[in-house]
Amino acid sequence: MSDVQSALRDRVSTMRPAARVEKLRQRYTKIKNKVVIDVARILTRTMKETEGEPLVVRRAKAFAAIVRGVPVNIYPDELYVGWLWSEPRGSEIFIKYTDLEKELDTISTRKYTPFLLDDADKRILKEEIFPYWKKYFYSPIIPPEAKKMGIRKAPITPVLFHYVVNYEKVLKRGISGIKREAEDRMARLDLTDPDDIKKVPFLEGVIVALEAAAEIGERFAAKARELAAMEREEKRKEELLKIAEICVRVPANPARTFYEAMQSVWFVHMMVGWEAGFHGGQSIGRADQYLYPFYERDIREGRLTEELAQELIDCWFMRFSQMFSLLPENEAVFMSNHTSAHHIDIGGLKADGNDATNALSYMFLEAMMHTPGMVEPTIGLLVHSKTPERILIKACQLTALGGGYPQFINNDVLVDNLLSRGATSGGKPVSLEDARTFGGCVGCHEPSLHTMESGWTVGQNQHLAALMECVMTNGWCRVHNTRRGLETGDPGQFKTFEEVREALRKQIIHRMKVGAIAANLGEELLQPTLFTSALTEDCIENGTPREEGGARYSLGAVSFDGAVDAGNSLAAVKKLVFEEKKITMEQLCTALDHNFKGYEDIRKLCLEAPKFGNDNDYVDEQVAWITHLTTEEAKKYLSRYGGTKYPIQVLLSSFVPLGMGVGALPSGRLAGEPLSDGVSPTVGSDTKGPTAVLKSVGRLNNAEVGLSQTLNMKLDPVIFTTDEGFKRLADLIRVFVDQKVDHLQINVVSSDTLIAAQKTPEHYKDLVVKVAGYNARFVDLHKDLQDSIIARTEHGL
Amino acid sequence: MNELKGLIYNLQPFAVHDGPGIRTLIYMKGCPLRCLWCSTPQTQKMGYEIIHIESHCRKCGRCAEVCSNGAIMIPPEGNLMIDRKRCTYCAKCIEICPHQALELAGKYMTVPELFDEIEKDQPFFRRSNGGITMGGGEATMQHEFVAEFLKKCKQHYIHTAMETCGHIAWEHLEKLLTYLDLIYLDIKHMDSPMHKTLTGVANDFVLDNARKVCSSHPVIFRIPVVPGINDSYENISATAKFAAAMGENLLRIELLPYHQFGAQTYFRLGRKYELSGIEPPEDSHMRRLKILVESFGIKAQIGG
Ligand code: SF4
Ligand code: SF4
Repeated sequence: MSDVQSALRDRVSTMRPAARVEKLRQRYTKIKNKVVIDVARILTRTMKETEGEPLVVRRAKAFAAIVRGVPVNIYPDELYVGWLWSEPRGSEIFIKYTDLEKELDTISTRKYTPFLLDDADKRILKEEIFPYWKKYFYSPIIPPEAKKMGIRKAPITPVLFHYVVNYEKVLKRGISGIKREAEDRMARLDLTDPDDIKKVPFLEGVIVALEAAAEIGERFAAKARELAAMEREEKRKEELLKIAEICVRVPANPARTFYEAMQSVWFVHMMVGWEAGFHGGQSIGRADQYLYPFYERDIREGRLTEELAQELIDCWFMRFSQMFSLLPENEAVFMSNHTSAHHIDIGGLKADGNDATNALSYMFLEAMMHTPGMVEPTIGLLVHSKTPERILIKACQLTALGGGYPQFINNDVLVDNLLSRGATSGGKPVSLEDARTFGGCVGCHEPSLHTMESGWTVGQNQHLAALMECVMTNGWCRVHNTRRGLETGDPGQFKTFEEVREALRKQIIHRMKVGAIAANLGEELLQPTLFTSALTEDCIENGTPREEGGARYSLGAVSFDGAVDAGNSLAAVKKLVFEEKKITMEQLCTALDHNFKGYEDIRKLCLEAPKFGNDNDYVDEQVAWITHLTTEEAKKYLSRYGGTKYPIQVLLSSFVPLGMGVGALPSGRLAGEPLSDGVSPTVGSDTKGPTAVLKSVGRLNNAEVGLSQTLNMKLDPVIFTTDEGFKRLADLIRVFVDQKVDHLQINVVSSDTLIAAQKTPEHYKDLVVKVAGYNARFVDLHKDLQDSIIARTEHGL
Repeated sequence: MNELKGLIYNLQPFAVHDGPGIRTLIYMKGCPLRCLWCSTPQTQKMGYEIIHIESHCRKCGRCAEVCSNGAIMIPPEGNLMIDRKRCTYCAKCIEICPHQALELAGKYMTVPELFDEIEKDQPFFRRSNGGITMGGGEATMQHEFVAEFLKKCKQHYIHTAMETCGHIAWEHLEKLLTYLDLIYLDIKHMDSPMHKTLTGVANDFVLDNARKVCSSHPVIFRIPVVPGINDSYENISATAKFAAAMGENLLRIELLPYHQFGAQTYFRLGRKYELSGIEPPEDSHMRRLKILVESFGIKAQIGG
């Protein structure tokens, strides 16, 4: 933390962090990332041993073996037990990353986010784990028709991610209570009904999984008692005995206290990861809501003080930040220290449409102030027209500290979004009360109906910028010199702007179909989950896992990118070629073919054409048209397990590598340059500042983009020189709500600081920047990405 | 009909330091003063100016080729040179420059055109109790246009503020006051001969106008604090003393620490930056000046 930032933190934070919090925080930042294979090893071995049994039963047994077999470690000073991957900074190995197998030897020495890896573990990975999973995930059959459309390999998506399981139910009934529910369902099956017979293996599996899950607490309790017996220090001994007492109780039984509830949620979250892997987006949900009754009762009955509660929250928060996704090198370059986006929502609405903010909402924000340098949890404030000014100001104060949190999620748009789904998510239309109560985000900031959704996978990105290039090349990709899209005709022959748009329309329609097919192929590889399904409504009642449509709502996803680049390009073509007639289509195509080299005059015209993000209808309506079309097309396709596919434009930092594959565009963008990030304006083109950006994005029909699109904004910290700055930002957020923009993440950091950080990275390890939907340490980022973050137009003064 | 037009340098939305709420700051062209420390010299001249952004320039020579007045010279070494006396501001060079290295400072707009632009941020004004602030340059130099524009803002319930150097005939200022909610008035130096040396004009107009404005409108005095020039205790005390006599309408004094953000612009306009040796004031000095002002019973603030 820089001096300026720590001074600001002292000004806005309402409570000093407990000594333990600072001690742990310091400790965590020093630990190196490490590959931990316990889960993968146990899973693989069990799968081998159970060959021949029904898949649901095998997965259930594997889950049970993991819960009973992973090492039980308790670390000094910690108030909670259990690490997702055995230890802080441990990371699972994503079996889906085929490239990782080849990189095992260099993983601990590579430049971006290296991970330590034991030699013995490496051998097990090479000899047992990768070879086993290959046959499942590496060779799906691609139908000849799909091959013809250019689908060469199916995206490997072994699990559904992006969901929130029913933590509240665990807190109220305990895992054992839910197990009884499954047993009861089994007893109620009508075995004369063939449909019910099919449910037997799943329910059997659920019971096996929940039985094991209920034992997790006892394993840690035993360890805590053992350590307590050896502990010399009285205070720590007490803490360990307290931990033992809690673990005996949860998650098997309902939680009685706030502390128990927090540990119980953590256990469940951990086990969700063990079963399904943290491929991203397994989220915590509206924790301030379901934890509040426990907090309130403890405070009322004198069991808990605010200080202790804050310490518990701070420590809990830091646990989410201690695992980075192990990515293959080509991805790690752009997504260093990529985390899994454990999203937590705060604030929001109650079922009756009133504001739901409570004391915990504030304390969660405070926890983020206490733990600088931590990149998780991905915290979002659900803002709506009734959000109290006080929580909004607190959120803006956290924003001012520069970590990029909280994200602002427009709750009013979220409700519109969920209601507008109608029957497209596989179940009956969402009720207004459910939309308010269970509406929240998952992952980076994707809208979701918590506890009742299947989760989804992102099959394959559809590159709209590349499709715009295809319009200008009759389907050709200039960078790779191959056919990429449809042949929509010689662009030189287009006589009207409508013909250009029609060509893009055809390209998009075609590509979304390809995307749907690719996603379908990926969805075929899903393996059922038992524990996670049991905690998703209504899988037990339906006797069916999430992966087969057991959830109350199921949906798929088709991801797209480059809507802004394509829209800027359309506007430039419309203005320069068809309205002002300054250039012809042929001249423009030639200039693009040469990446504007020797055609600087044309590029100048292109750059001066209207750009999205400046409150200019002329171009905004092009982007809106593209977004709408893409959305409509996505929703035409069903997902395997019910519901339609939903559009999403959340790119993390892939807008940088994706840009490398796209040639010059009529927007004036050169070949290889980064694409725009979600609906954020193209770097450097938003010359009018944040107000114009919000107006432009507000012009899009954001509620219809089912899984949202990212808006990132950078603010100069100079607006916070006086306390008035917080209020100004809060006012800006009010307009964000008014204008129906659905997501906003604000990065407050000066470019001078960033440039300094490039020069002396060792001094700036604390510097967390928003990349796109997730946050990362700036110094860990690739130089290109650093540069593009710096270049993003400075707003403010 | 010869429609009234204003010469505007730039609009800055989301301005947060020049009046309440979120505001759009309108930089008007033209200023009767020539303050040595001016950070926006491109607004001083009442007329167009050519800005050359040396870091974008690749010295390709295209601009010199199209200039029919021979105003542009490209020496083999060093920077491109523009003979601003020969330039007729035809903007041909700007159109041709492929690297966005040339800019024209100044744009004529009608009142409705300017209003349409600022109206876009109405949703922000409404939420933040913000509005528009006239700045520059010196907005009062184009008082007819500004009066019409402010009148239109008031017709649409938009809060209006203006920054002024105060060097203007009272009848012009008075007309503008009808449509203004808040005035920022610069008091650059209390000593009149010194004021003349620093800004090119004496301060009698300024002080006289200050008294008159304070009798009817909420006013904030601004002092650009320039080390070695006007930052003495003596001068600041004199200003505070003057302010103390203004009565309730004087809301506060804002002490704006001198900065060099504008230095580059002089260079881009082909001008010399006269204050190059001066560093921004120390924070501690600024804090002392604040306390000094407060000792006169006047509210003080560092920065806008
Ligand atoms: S045309 Fe532009 S880039 Fe070329 S010399 Fe002139 S100012 Fe420089
Ligand atoms: S504006 Fe016209 S006259 Fe002036 S330098 Fe450019 S081309 Fe020459």
